[in-house]
Amino acid sequence: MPTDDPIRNLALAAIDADRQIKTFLQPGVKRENIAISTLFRFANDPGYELPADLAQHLENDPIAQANLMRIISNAALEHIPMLAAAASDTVTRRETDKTVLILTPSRADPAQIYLTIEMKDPEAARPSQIFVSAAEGQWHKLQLAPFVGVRTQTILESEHEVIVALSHPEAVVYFR
Amino acid sequence: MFAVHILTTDGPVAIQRISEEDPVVSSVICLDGRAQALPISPAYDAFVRNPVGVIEKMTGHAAYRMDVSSRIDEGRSWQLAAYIAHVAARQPDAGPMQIYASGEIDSDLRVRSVEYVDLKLAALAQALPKSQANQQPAIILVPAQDAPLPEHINGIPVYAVSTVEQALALVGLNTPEQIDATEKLSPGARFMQMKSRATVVLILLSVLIFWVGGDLARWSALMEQGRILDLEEALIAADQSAFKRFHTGLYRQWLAFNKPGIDSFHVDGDLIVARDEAACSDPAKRQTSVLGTEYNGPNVICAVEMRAVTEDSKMSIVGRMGYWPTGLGQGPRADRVMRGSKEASGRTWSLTFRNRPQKGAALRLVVIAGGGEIHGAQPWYQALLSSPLGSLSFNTAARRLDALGFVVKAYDWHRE
Repeated sequence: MPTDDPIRNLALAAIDADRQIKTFLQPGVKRENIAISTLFRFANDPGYELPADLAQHLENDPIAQANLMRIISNAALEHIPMLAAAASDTVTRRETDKTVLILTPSRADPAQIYLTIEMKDPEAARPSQIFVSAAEGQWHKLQLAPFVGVRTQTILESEHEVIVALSHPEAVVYFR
Repeated sequence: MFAVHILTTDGPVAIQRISEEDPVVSSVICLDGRAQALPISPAYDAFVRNPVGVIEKMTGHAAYRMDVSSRIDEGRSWQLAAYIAHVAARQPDAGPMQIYASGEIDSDLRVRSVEYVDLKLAALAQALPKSQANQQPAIILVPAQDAPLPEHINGIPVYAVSTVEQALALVGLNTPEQIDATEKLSPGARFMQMKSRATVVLILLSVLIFWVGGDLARWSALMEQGRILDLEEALIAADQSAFKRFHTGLYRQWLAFNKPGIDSFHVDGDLIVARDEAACSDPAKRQTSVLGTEYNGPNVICAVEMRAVTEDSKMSIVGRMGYWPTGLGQGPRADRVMRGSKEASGRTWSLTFRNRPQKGAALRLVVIAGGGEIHGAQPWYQALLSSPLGSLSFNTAARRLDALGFVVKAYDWHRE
């Protein structure tokens, strides 16, 4: 469904209204401050980033996190689950039956990291962005460079939020 | 200072730096030292990497990063300047020279014509000071073409070139040797020839033929890149030819010769248990013991840590650990399959549990040791992680790796 579809927008507005009513009618229930339509836009509009206040709220709101995960995972081409806690070192490689994700420090500038994603199946659909769910409840997304064959590569600063999140074994990665 | 600039219709773009990168990444053109790869980076990677590229043939290295001062969005006219910059990077004694170049390079190192040379020269004229008096030597290089060229731009001479060799001679650089994988190995071949004796002349001649054929170079390159599955397929394909079967036989002998011994690395582990779930999160209340092969106590199993260690610094150890909550090979696939973290002396695999191991739960650690890392698809793990030790499927998978110069060790643990 296209992101500007009027029927989709109407449905999202109805879901938002329904949630607000339920929240107001239940005394003592913590109010959800991130609308479903906002989460949907974050998941589907590559150019949209959550405003700082909503991003911070998302970190502390497990309901919103669960909603966002549902929206993202429902349309994900592939996902890489969290790794078991490693005894040492940061994570530099994640692999499933379908994809390999590798972080390689640049020799020219070690403060920059190459993020490489390789699809094992040459016929598989190519993702255009990744979402990373960090251990602290944060969500990050990254627009991928166009694939060349089965491979795409992006160079990022080592302090980039996506690189920091991917370095931890608890991160979960979704391809869309 | 020796400086190379790419001519564009928006003015000259300086090549600021050329650096070697890890060959596992693709070559990139970055903007001004920033973590920003330009969209033409895939074209630069093709320009560098064998078999299409020309830079790896010259340098023997497969991945570079080139930083430029401004954006270059399309075309291939940056290739002549990039080639000169790569050559200059390997000849640090080159004298001071400012080079402005435009041209496409083909695989025979001929310089091919490009579009908008007149506009690029006009843009250069605007960007340069009006006189080059008292400036360091400079030269402009463009492809030979039918259209007339100006003799100079703001005092800088313009030369039309049709080959890279001409261009390098004009800027005072030596033409580098084009190397390929076959030539890279030839010193070794010569060394072996020197040591030849009459009784092994026949073998040496065979080896020489083998090397000239280039098969060893290709297979060694695959091994070096960790593309083990590709190597296996290449060897199997070569086995179809009676002539090449001799080559694969020699190469397999070489792999067997370099294969580590089964006792050259060791595998052990720790079992971390606690009285109850809550105690698992308190390090003071957890108990650690040697892993063994089974556990039949009453405690909750918090975590398992396995290690593979070696004193051989040249040996590469990889592996995976799979968790089977209802027994080895039961269910669709191992619940959590993980690679180990790398340490100086080996690898460590640590596994914590969302679903604690109950009676019947099993863990399988598979460790593969050899002369290099393994990258890409590794279909043998499915059998190695799920099949009983000694079973036909396990042994078949282990034999595939054995034939490629790797040793496999497996460690099983289960809860009674």
